[in-house]
Amino acid sequence: MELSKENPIPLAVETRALTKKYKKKIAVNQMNMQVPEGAIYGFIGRNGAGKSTTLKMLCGLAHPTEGEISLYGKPSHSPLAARRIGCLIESAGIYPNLTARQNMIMKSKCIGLTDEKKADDLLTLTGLSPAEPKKAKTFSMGMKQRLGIALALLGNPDLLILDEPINGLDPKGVREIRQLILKLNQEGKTFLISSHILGELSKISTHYGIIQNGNLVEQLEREELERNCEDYFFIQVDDPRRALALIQEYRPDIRAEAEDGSTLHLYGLQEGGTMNRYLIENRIQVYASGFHHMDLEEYFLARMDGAGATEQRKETKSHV
Amino acid sequence: MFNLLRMDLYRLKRTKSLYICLAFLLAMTILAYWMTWRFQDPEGLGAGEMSLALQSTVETLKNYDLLMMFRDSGIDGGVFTTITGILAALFVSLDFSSGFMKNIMALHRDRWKYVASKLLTAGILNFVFLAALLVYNLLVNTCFGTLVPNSAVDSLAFYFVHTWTVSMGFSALFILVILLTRSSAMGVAAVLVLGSGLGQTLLLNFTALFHMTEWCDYTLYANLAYGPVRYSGMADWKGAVVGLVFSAVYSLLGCIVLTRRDI
Repeated sequence: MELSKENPIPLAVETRALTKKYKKKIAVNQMNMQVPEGAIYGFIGRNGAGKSTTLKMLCGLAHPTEGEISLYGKPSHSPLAARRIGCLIESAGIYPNLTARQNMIMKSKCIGLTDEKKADDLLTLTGLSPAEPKKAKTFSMGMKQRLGIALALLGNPDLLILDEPINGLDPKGVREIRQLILKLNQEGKTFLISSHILGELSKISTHYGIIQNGNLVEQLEREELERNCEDYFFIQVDDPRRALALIQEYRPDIRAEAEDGSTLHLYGLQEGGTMNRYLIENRIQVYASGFHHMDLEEYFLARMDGAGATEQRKETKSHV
Repeated sequence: MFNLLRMDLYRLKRTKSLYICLAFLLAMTILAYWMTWRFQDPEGLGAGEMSLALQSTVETLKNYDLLMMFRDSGIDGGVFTTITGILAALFVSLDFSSGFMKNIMALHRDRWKYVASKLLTAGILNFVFLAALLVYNLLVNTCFGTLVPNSAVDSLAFYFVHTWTVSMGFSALFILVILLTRSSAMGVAAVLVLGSGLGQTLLLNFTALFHMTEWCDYTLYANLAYGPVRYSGMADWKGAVVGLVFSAVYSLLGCIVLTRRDI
């Protein structure tokens, strides 16, 4: 479960046996989460899996039933730790009768900042105009999200906890926020982001945590995920047993696995045409073939369908 | 806490309902003076046309001074606490309904700071409203050709402090109701029942059946509506003490509620 047992990188977030119970329902169960400093941590889970509850506990909005939270090595209830985080949980918390700038000034006052120019700069950074006279209640969903992100960035926090930050944004907005996150990450900020848009998350995340029914079923780095989601060339043949032997003889450098009664998966193959021709020349009927890339979505769904689905799949292959 | 107070005051200044409520209280004052002037005007309601009740009112009004007008124009009947209570309830409940509470609570983990800042904001609001009403009473009385005689400054100052302290108790109560229910509708309903004295009247009628009415001397509403007109001794501070005690108790309960419940 740990990202790295000998991790020399200090942790921005560390939870130990974090548990949240609502009466008899366990929303988060014995969670040991580790978010290294400087990471973009993608937090993935189905609706009701416990993502928002976890993020709320990290932000001090919900009380853990059991366990500990440490932010930058300090207990989460420490005012010093609280100053280092910015959060956008569920919806953007904004006063509807105030303008974007007034909302920003409100949060500035809440933090104790006096420089109003910083608020203007952040509005510009997130694609909003500081001079916009419209009240927040007339904003589109996307504008509200942008304002929510700008509010989270006030006070120059080191850790940003964003719950569904790209909800309601148009494709251009999604790209802008993605670029903003990457830019801020390069400046040293740590991100903990939950999102259902897994494709987007996979473009920026350096680390992943998968939660299922309150249990953190997996934590892994991007490299590990890429290994797990390795590309393969699939080929559907009439005689997979003989085809497998032929492939292993022809290309001993690649890994070949039988997926089911007629399909083979070849890992490490760069070009498929030669392989098809070789099999046909050896009187193997090839019904279908092509390259397959397993993205985060598939991986996530496989993990969600049951713990260790990938492992189960691999075990099945070895029996064929 | 002072950061939160600065934030609250910034928002309060931009709250439209603040000006609507103040305008309503000022309009009530004008109405009170106009009615008094009508009763005292010989060309207004002739003695022959007046019912006994009206004649009694006219006689009572003859003994009125500025302080009595100040009380009767909005404070004694619970209008002041109801109006400022509604304002406080809407102000606090918007923190929850807008979701801005998450921004505040993520930064300020000590919940008492939130309750203290809200109580201070309500205190400042009540002070400003009371001061505005008092000054307005002076102005309107002058405009009506000194309709009622002016009161002694010390009596006005004492009553001002007394009323402000009791109104703080009410504000703390309404903040507690919002923290408990997180609903503006429930908050306004509580203000209408408790701030107007309706709740106390109903309870008093019920407990009177068992000859238990002494508790009424220690309620916020009774101390506001039937408070002393002028300072005559230490016992007159009872209302202020009741206000302070209730402010402390309700604020403490508010802190407990906010600490125990998730945002």
